[in-house]
Amino acid sequence: MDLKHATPPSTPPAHGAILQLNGLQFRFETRTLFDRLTLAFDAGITWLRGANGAGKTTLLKLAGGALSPHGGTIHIDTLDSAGQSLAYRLQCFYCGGESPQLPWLTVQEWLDLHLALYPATDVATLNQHLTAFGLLTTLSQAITTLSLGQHKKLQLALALTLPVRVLLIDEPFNGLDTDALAYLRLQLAAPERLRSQCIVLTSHLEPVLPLVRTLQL
Amino acid sequence: MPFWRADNVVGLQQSVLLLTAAAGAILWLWPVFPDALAGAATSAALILLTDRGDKAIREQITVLRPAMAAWPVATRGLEWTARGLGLLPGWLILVLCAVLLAGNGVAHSHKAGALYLAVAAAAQLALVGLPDGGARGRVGLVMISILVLTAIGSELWT
Repeated sequence: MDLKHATPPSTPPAHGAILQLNGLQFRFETRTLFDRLTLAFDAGITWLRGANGAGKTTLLKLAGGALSPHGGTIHIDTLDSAGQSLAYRLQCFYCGGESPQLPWLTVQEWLDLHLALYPATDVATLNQHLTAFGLLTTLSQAITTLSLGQHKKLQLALALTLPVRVLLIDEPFNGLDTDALAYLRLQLAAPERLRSQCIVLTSHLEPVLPLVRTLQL
Repeated sequence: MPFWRADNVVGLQQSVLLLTAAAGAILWLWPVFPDALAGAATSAALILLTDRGDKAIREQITVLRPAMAAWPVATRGLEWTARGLGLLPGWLILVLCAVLLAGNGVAHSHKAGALYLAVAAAAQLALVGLPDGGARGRVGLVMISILVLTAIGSELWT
């Protein structure tokens, strides 16, 4: 199915879906990426596949509120990304693969910033994930001193902790060592998480996770 | 913090400009050197302090905007607050100028002193509040501000 021209904008969102994209339009200067794209994501893990440049990361950023669509609507439950943007963003987190932003911060300060942005976050759970990823010793370091893998682990530790309805993870397995991969898979596949959270991840590798859906862009 | 870490020299640059403006104001308005040249130097340091600070804040906002777009915070308010805080160093100097002028109550033109403070505050507000009009517009606004302040300042002791 060609998801870029999926269904007309009048199609109502699926009942019971957590994340709903309805008639989504997005274009770059030189090309249209999504034209009236309608998708619904339920609780559990959806694997978003596609070739480089197909729009996987853009779709995650649109769903995460980091980009604004040129048309259509995005909802998390009943929250509209445009009309209730702050409440919407509080319910989702985009875990990207970009190089460290806020380069002047230490790891602890970067975490504190995000804990302040999402005040309902459980610090004990965060510390558990940081310990599992072997990051506790890096807290006083400048965030720019982390390796690619450590930065990925830091983002994932935060993503796994935040009390959000929608978790959008771009290439979660890139740069991770074997132990971290096993821990991440264990956490993502936790039954409670699968019941309550909508997880959309992109990966060029087979996720080896219990998937509710695979989407090809 | 971003202006003091990760090899960023803006914090140091702002500190030097702040100290230069403060020292200039003290020498000019105490007055140790009550001449137009001291007034010009003080005015230039004062305007450059706000100009350079606002430029650094605007650049920082541009860098942060993609990250902030996904944060559950009202980013527009945050950006204006940051830019507003950029006025503080310059206005601190204006307070110093007002205190120094008040300490020399009979020796200067009160009208010129009040005008100098008002125009300096307005010029700094313009630097921070006006939309980016390009490099030429910015340089023009800075130069005009310094010239006007220098002209008003030259009337202070006459």
